[in-house]
Amino acid sequence: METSNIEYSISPNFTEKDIEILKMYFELSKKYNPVISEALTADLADHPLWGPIMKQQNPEQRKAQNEKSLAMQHAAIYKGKWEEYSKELLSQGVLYAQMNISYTDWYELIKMYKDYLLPYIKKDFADSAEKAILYLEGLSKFIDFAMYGIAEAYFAEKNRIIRANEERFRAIFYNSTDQITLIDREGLIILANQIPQHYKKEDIIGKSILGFQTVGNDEIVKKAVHSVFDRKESSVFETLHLSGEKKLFYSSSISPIFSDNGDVNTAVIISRDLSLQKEAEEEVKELNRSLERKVEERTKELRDAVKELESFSYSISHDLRSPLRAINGFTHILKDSYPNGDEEVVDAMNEIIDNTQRMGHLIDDLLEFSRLGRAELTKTTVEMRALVETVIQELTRVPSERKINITLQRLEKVTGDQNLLKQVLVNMIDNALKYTSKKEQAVIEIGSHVKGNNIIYYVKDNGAGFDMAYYGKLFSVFQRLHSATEYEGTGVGLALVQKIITKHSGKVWAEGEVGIGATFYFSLPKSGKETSI
Amino acid sequence: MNDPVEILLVEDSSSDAKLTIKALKQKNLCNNLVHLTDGVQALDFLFGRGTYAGRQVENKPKIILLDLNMPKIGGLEVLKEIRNDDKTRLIPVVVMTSSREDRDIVESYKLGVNSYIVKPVGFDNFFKAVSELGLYWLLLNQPPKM
Repeated sequence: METSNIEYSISPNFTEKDIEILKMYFELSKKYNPVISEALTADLADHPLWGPIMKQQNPEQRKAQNEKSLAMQHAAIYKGKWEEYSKELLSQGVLYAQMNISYTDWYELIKMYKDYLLPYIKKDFADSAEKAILYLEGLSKFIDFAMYGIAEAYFAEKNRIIRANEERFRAIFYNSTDQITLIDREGLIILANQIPQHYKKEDIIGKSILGFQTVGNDEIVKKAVHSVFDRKESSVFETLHLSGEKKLFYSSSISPIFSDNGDVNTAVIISRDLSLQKEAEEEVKELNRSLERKVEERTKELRDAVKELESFSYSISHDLRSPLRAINGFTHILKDSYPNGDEEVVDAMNEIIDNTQRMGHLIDDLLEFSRLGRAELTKTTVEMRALVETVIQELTRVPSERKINITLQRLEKVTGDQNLLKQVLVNMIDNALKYTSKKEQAVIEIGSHVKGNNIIYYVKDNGAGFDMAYYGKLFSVFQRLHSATEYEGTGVGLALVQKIITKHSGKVWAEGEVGIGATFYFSLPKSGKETSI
Repeated sequence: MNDPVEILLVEDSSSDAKLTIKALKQKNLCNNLVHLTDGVQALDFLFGRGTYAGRQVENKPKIILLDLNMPKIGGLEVLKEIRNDDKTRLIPVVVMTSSREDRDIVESYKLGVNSYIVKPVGFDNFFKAVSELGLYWLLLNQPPKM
């Protein structure tokens, strides 16, 4: 704790006669001090203020302090060392102030001491009233001196402490960026830490809070003021102010200040200017709005682009297929018209026919691919085993010389679009059949297993396989890893598979090794919901 | 002009028309075929209007082979007009088109088409489709008395 610097002392103007009677006082005090001190300590043990203070010292310490005090009194009275003694008194005063002991409490203690002393005075001076009076005069002089000294220091220290506290609160109050306003029961402003721009202090202090702070917000503030004084409750409120062109947004809290008896005659309003924050919020909102508008615009553009593509692919089906049909048809007619034609010419005509047919397939696949992109899923429970069996039946309907061994493992049912999933199986199984066509014995295995929330289906074959180095091209439209003469195809099949599975929130992947075989996988969510592989 | 009409072919592609006619000819189904190249002509013909004013509209084709994508008035509109008029509503109409779009198929059936054929690119298939179509509608099918 900080302490005052006591740089002053008190020099009493005692006469020689005064000193004589002080000596009388001292002799008696010295004689009875130990007894009185002990009695006083015992009696004050349960005193709310002095009890705890006294307990801080043990009897030895107390005794030592008493002796020290007596020694200093002795030095003062007998040897004129008042300055030293007064310093001791002053430091006691400071101590009491710091301990927050009130002056009257301390005075009470002195009085008690005096009362304890009186019976001894009566006893010792029973034979001489004159001596008794002199003694009492000495006591009175000494106490006056001591009280004066202590009081001086005590109040000096008290003031210092109060000033220090006030400084602290002033610093908080006046340096706060919040507007802090004290009002009385009438809503009149007692104190304000900030005087707003364009105002003078006298425009604010003593004026109603309604007029000054809250143009257009009177009802809100009235309610808050009413609540704080009548119900003694804190509350928060928000107000809007106009400062020139600018809108200022304030958020305030109002709290009661309780006096010692519990009354509320003053309240404090703390207001914060949230305009910048509001502005930032508005800005964020506006940004979001413009972002949404942009997204909308872009979405519309995209939709238009998709529509354009749709009508493009739609016209492809007519405009490209018709001439092909003509080329194909008339080449046929030509060929039929010259049944004994030149071998080279017939060969050329066959090439034309084959190529137009191939291009026809390409267009059909491409159309199918774009149609799927637009198709809505119609989800039902799909019995995959039955579906796989149907597909195999359809694909192997044409009798062939080939040795094909197809094994079906467990095939989980799943939620999905039956027609589209059939398309997936047709493509995958057809691929397996196609790429095993050059093997003496085709071995194909189809199965599924559950992994987490997904079901993983696979079609495994011992066919031509593929080089994992070109894996990136596997599922792209018109990308092929084998030439059309080796294995026919348009390069749309797996792209279609990927599109369908993606639409089902699933994934497609594959493993392969050239000459050994390939395994194609696709995952579908078990519940028809999102997948995460 | 008033010879009985058996087949009304409405087709704007001359190539497709030639191939269709050739296919029908081979099955001897082509004796009384009228080929028109757009929807306006088709409606004028059927209702005796415009260039066909005065034609005996009672002379109705046994079958109409109708393309969808045509200049001026498209096939679907022609189909709608045919089905909307008591005089023509019972004539069998087969849509023959390159379009395999669902909306075209659905719309055609909604308007009461009797059959919807997607023209194959390959000649063999095309030939087979047209000739079977002709046989079915002209020889096997029993039309209502009109």
